[in-house]
Amino acid sequence: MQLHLKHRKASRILKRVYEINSNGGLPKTGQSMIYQPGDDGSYQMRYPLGGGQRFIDNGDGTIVDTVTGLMWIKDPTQVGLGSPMYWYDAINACENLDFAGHDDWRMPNINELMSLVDHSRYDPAWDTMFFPYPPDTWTPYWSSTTNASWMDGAWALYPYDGYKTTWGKPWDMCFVRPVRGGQA
Amino acid sequence: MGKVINHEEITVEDIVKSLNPAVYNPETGESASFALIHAEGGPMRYFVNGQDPMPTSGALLEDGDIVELPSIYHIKDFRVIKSGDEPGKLTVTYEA
Amino acid sequence: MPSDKVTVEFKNGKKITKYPGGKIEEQTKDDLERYKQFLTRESQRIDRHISLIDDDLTKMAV
Repeated sequence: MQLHLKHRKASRILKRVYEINSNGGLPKTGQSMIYQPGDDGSYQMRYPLGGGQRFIDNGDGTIVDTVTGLMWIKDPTQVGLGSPMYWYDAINACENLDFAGHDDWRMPNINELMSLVDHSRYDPAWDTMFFPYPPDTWTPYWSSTTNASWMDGAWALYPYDGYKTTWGKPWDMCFVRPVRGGQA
Repeated sequence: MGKVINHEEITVEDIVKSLNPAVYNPETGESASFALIHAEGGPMRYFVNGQDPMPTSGALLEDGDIVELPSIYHIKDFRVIKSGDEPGKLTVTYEA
Repeated sequence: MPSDKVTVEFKNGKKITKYPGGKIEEQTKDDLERYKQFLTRESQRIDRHISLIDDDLTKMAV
């Protein structure tokens, strides 16, 4: 085994953390309409800056979000997740998923799920060029995050307009969109 | 698998410093085969072949940089000097 | 209380809201019916969860 001298620059060590999260920080909400000067449309804060391409379709059923560094299943109906499921079953389905050469899929947390919402759209609240129309716009998607104030409930998001809600883990059935990546 | 055997802290100023054999190659106990160097403070310059660096000559070592010396030969021949106005400090961790 | 600068008109079966920034929002009967449906469904689900919690509370009563 060759033994090599190594020297790592402090500046580059820091930069690598930013590179994983390419633009870094919160994604834009998507709103560009101005209802009142000073509102979201006026500022359009967050990333990507300058209207760069945010999502990349890998052509293998996965989509990468360059702002968050997350990789999403483009169409969960194509990987056996076309029906709503109980929360526990949905988590297991993500954990057991082997797709597009990856086996580290998981159920997204509520922040990750919210990052996909395009607030300039509804029915659904995302760009259907990247994520197909959901099987039912009135059934939410599960997140892996439990509601701290009601532990039977897990946070979920409606595809219709991105409405955040808590649905019951033991009783309700929702869709799921598996995700992978992001820093642990 | 490296086992940490010892460490030393060196203040780097106008005189060329080398690493302390008493620490990395003690008379009793294991000798180091690897050193991890964390640099702090003002910029420094170093060589790893026994040659003395100068303020304007040698590899630039700056605050926050990390240097890995992978053998006792590198450790033995490491030489460092202050390159700017402020002194620097090296924390060197040795593994067996 | 809506601001003086926001104007609301109802005509041609639509609700037309004009904002001071210049934006004019038109909503049709359909738009509003759909959102009302969504809120109704969500309200029913919330009611269902409340009754499930009530069940638990009854069982907890000592």
